[in-house]
Amino acid sequence: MRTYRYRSVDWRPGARLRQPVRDSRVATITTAAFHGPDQEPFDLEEKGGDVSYRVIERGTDLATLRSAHKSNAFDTAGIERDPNVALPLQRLEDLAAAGAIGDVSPVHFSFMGSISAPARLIQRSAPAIVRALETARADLVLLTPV
Amino acid sequence: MGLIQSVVERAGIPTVSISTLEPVSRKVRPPRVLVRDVHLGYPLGEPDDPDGQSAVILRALEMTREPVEVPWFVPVDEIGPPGLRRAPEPGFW
Repeated sequence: MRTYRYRSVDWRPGARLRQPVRDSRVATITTAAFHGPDQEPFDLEEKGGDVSYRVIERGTDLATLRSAHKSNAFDTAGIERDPNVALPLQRLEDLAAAGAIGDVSPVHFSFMGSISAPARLIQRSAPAIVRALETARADLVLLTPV
Repeated sequence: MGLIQSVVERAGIPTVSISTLEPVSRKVRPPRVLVRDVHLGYPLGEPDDPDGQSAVILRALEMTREPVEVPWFVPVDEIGPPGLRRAPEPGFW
């Protein structure tokens, strides 16, 4: 990871959840590189990293997801056995049913991570995610890098 | 991931991430990070542990209630009200 040139995006002044979590719609974004059975896997060979993303819809059977990660940098056994470890859609459903959160976003997002050339990620992918989150009327976002 | 988080936050949607690589997260400086001392690839902990996973999720989501002005890192076991984070050090960005 020493070869990465870490970048930052100035997010100030920042946002704040104005209502209780129990009244809020939650979306998630992961870098577990999950893709559905009808979606293209991520491209492990793309120079600078694959900055595309996959939309994971609410109600997706997590058992059908596959992760493109093949790295030896981390153990993928956990997310393969229980995708909630990185994309907790069933946990969000549980929490919504229990009244701990208001609702589950209709869409969630999966990225590859390991992006060594993030310009396209910042300029294209991330703004597209923002638009999708706004359309989904998500109130807050939980991100789970792996 | 921290870059995406920052773009979403900048757009006005509050965000929180769960990090298992605190040194990397501190370089990218997203707004809110729940830090976990667990193995890479296990941000929500053990597989098939609904209660444990849900507890981590709720702790993280509650962080979005707090306004932040500098990156806010919280160990998962930290308790108590965090308060507003102010006064970034000179040249922070």
